[in-house]
Amino acid sequence: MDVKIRKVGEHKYCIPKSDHPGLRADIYIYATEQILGAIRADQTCTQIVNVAMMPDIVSPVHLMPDAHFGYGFPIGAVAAFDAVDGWVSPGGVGADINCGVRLMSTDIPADELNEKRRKSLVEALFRRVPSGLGVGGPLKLSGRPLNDVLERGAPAIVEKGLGLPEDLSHIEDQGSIEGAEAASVSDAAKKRGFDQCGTMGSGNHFLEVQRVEKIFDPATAGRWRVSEGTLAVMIHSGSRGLGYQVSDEFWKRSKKALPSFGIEVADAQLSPLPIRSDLGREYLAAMRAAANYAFANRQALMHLVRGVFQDEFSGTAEGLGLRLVYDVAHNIAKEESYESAGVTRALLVHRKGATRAFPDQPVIIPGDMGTASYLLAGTVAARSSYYTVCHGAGRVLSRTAAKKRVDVGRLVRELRDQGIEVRGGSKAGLAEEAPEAYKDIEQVVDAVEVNGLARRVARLKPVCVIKG
Amino acid sequence: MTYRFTDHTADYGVEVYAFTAEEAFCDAARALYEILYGKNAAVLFRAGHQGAPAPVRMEEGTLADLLHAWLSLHLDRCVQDRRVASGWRIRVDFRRARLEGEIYMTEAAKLGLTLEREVKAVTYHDLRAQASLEKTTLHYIVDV
Repeated sequence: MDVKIRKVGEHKYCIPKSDHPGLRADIYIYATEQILGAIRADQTCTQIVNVAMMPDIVSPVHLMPDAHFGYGFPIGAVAAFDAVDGWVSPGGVGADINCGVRLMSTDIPADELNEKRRKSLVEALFRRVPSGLGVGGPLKLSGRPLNDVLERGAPAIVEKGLGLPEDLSHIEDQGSIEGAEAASVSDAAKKRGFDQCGTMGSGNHFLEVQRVEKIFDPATAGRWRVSEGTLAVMIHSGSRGLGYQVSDEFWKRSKKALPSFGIEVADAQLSPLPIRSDLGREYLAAMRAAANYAFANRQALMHLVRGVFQDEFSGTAEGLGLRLVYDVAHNIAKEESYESAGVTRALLVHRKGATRAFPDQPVIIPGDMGTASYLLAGTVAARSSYYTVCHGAGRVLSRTAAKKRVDVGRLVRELRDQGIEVRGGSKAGLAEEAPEAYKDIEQVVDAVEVNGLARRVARLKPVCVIKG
Repeated sequence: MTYRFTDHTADYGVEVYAFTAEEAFCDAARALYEILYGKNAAVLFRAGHQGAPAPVRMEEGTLADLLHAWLSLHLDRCVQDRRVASGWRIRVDFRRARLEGEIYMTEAAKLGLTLEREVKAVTYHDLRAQASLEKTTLHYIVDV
């Protein structure tokens, strides 16, 4: 299909369904001109068009400025179906179910972290927070304890003493998604989840100590207890091998089942399942369980980080102000209510590499390891995008290209010269995650803010970076 | 070895070219091990057959699906059991999309291998397999 993209506002483009036979929904793309060029360059546009051609899709669908090629849905896609009679798409959630990000603020002045303390902190975090491959976590979960985590999420971990009760009110859905069923998660997935709760993983997962460099919205930052010049900690991780196994199993099953649903999709990895079907219900129950595992994982990781900070800064969590600001998912499908023409309707909103942004909700947008990350606040105007914004900077370089281009030794030295201490599990991994592999975070956030979907609250600069 | 890695925004693509379907499927698996273990994966190819042989038999609707099943078998053993195939003897009937033979699994640690990269899944995206009596070409992408 020859796609006609129309500019409809500053940093906003549209692919109207009226211009394209076969499209069932309008597509809105939030992007600067430069980012739009990158989106056009890989297959992202084709993929979002495939999404907008799905049966029963609710118009419009959205593509965020950090979009890039994915499997089924592109990364950065937001699309909805009726929550009762519509479809759920494993390809619209992603392999890493509830991959998400968590931000912890502190009262520790960033200036206290001189070069010696920075090195000590990064070594302690690398040693005590499990990251990388084949590294087990602090919890060994099987049987009933694992099922409890799958069905209740973060509260189950707090009850084990890994966190504070007040953490839960700062997590999307209090860290516990209803409708999760441990019985829908296979033994193979549970086996993979045995020792991975409280582990970061690898790839683009990370733990960063950051300096709150600039506050843009002092009132909101004050409410969230984020102060300029202090340290913060950002954790990016998901449901680990358990989530990947759930995704892979349901992808295979949904691909086999597709012919029985009497529909056609342009890409088999969209793999839609009728929500009313047994398989659709089973996937939703398993996805929610994996999502709960991810909330539990990030809760356990933060507990470990608190322990390191308490030791390195000789204080208590309360004394050091180690508070959870928020934890939010960016690979998930959620049932939410939206009003259209005076009628309230329950929709299943798929966010794949996209973050929920309810009004005044903290939205955490990690950038690359060399520039900055952002803390935003959702707005009322974001209703137009199912209260959704971007999830990060988005890749522009392939992993193979990054590995060829990046000299890891030089990268580490350059970052150290900027006051950023990096510790990674492998040279290849660091090269693949180098700053030049990602889009300009400023442009990504501009595209979101100019369209009123979220507003900047704070910019955070990395100081210590741990990659798996 | 007749495989190469293709450029892909966030993950790894692999193209395989071989005379026979057996060679192509073997090289597809070797490429997957290189993604997982890095250049150290060459150790596998020198290790010879280690461990007891286990029968393998799979049949799918298409040759592409057979490729997916073959690679998923290796990935599952690697991530779930920390075992790698140090060797295999397989026959691939490309017309019937059937593979059978023996595979020798051994602990990755025994071969001094450590995972360098976490692979979530072998995807169905752009999964291609074409075979004839003269040549076989395969393409797959893994989600890293």
